[in-house]
Amino acid sequence: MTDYKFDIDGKKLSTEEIDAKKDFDSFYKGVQTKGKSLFQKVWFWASTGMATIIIGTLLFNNSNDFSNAFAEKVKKDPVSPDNLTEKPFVNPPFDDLIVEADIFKVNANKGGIFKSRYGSILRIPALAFFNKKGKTITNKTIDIRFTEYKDVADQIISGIPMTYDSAGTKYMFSSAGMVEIRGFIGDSAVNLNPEKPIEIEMKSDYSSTEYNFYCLDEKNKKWDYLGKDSVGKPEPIKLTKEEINAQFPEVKKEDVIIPENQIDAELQKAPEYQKRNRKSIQIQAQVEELSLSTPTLPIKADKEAEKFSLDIIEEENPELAMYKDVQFQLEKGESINPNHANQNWNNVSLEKGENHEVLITFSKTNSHQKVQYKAIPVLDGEAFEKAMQAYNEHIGKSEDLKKKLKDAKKQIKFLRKEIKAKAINKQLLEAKFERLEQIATLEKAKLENIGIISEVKRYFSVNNMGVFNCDRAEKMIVKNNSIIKNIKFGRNVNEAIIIDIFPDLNGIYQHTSLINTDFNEYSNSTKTIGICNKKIGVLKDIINGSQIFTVKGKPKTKNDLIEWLEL
Amino acid sequence: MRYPYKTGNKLKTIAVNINPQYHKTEDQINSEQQLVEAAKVDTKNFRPIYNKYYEIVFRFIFQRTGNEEITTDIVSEVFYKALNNLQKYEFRGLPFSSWLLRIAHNETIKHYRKASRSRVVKLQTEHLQNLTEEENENYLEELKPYLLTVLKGLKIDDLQLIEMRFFEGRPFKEIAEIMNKKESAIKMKIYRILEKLKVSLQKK
Repeated sequence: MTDYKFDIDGKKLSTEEIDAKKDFDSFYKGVQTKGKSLFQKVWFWASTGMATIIIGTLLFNNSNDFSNAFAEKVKKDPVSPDNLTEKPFVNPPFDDLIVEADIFKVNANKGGIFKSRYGSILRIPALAFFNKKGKTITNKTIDIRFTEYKDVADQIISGIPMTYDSAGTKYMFSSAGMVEIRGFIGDSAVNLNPEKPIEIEMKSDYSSTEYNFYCLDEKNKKWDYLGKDSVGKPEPIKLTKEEINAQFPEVKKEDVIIPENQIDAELQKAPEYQKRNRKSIQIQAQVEELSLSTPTLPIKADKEAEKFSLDIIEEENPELAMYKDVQFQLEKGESINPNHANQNWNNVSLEKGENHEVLITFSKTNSHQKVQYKAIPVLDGEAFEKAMQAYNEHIGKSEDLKKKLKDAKKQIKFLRKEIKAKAINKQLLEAKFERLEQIATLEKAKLENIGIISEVKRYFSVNNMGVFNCDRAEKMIVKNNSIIKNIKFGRNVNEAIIIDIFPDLNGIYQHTSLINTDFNEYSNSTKTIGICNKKIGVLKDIINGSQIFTVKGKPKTKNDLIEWLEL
Repeated sequence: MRYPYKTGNKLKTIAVNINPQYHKTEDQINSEQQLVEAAKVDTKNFRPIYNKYYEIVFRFIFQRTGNEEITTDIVSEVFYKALNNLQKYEFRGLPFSSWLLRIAHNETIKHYRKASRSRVVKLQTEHLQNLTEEENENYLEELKPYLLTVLKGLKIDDLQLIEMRFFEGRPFKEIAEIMNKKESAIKMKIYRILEKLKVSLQKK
């Protein structure tokens, strides 16, 4: 009879598809690792030696502690210490600890879209489920149990093997996310119609496209490579310029209004202003002081006009001292009454009138007689020159001070302008930032409204129930290799489940430690733990083949693991 | 090349579409030999060989597994064995690919023994056309179930010769090299299988 099956008009591969699988460098590295002949390998001699010792011991010393079962195991598989003890393929190490799953109630006729606790989306088509006989399930509610294994703690709890074997070379899985999907009606498992795959958008923290997509083949105890998932990184939703401007008009400089009192307040706080203001006040005071003593413009005496002078005794009439050299010039054509000129007037008062005129009143203390003359104070000769010079000097000084005052005020004005410009720019920038924030908030709100969150999603579809993993196979690099003589896990034990932890790669590597077998320490592992009798221990040291664990206990929660293993 | 046989009242012939991929000029074969010699000196020089023959080996195995993942693994094993045994390779005027394909053939058999699965024979409808040289597509469709039935009646060893010769278009010489048999023996074997097919078809 035939022992083959025909695949008629099946998938044809293009040269490009085949070329994509071609990777000489990886192949060559693999060759270098496994390229040593059997007899060249350390473990071969170790295993051979060990097997010899065991056989010898069994023949000549029946009282030895070695069990027959163990010897049988070694005989069966002397070169694979990692697999010496048979354990369930998926072997959750802790009885009371599981990774929490989402349960979705799915109408088998309609299917539906479901969101997990982490934000992953499942799109389940209508009539997607088969019963055990392969018939489509209708009019039933299916419980879909969806579990996401997000981190190394979840991986440890799950007991799902995170190792991958490719052509005899072992790799660990660096996971971008692993999910388990199962369907039930009551306690009975249901299958998925392969032609109606469930589409999954898995929320992930890893955006690399270097990950492959695998399905756990629990029957054959291996991971099946299914291809590649696709990665979706949410692009920020860009609003159009029109939308942005309509909702958030662009802020312009001229739109920024700052109250004057605010600027003044800012100005007064400025040390430069205080300095300049002090100077200004000082100059102002000088100007005012000077203006009080501003002399009248000296008028030169008219030779034609009649004049008289006052005989002033400065000591007695200091207020008139300024008129000592002054002549009082009458209007043209007027003259002094000679009678008045020859009398002794012991009181003289001067009152300023218009146009430089002075009203001079002469009176006597012993009579009511008094006379008045309107005259203009004038100077002549040297006195005029001196007065003119003094006047000019005073005016010059005054002008100078006024100029300084003007400059000081100008500087303050300039400083104020500067402060105002700075305040406007600051406010403008703040307004612009605020606008950008508002736009970003709107964009984020839009993202959330349409269900796209700010993290990476990996897209794939599954056409069977099971465990699916977006992974990258990372080669295990052996740092040390030793024969384990003793396992101290609180007390001495014969074996322990070993888990190497790689937090940076979000992966673990599970193997077994068994006395008198090879044990590998891997260079890229940050921590190695052991599990024995449901208890966790952290590998402290290996001294002369003696493995020493610090026992932490039986974890009750995921947090226990995180705390104990400092994850 | 045509092999006459009769189905019912119609005289049919079997045609072979020779795939040029497997046919090399003397110069090409000599140039391959230089690549092999370089790789013998330093295994790093195996890269051009790997790159050159990857597709040929991949297609050969994929034809027999129909599974990309399994094929990738077997291909790696083939090249690993080839590299490890390169010193033993002797140039006999045949393309290097024949030697690689012999390893591929053995590794595929080994895989099926280990996996306890049915061997896959990938087949395109036009391959059946190669067998019959039937131009009329309608008639070919009519003939297809009969052809498949008679092919299924063949032993796996016989079927793989048909596969290599008519589905993959390999020359007798190359088939002989892959199967590690003499060319004349392969020719004779294939004639006999065809005779058997002819008889089976006439019975249908």
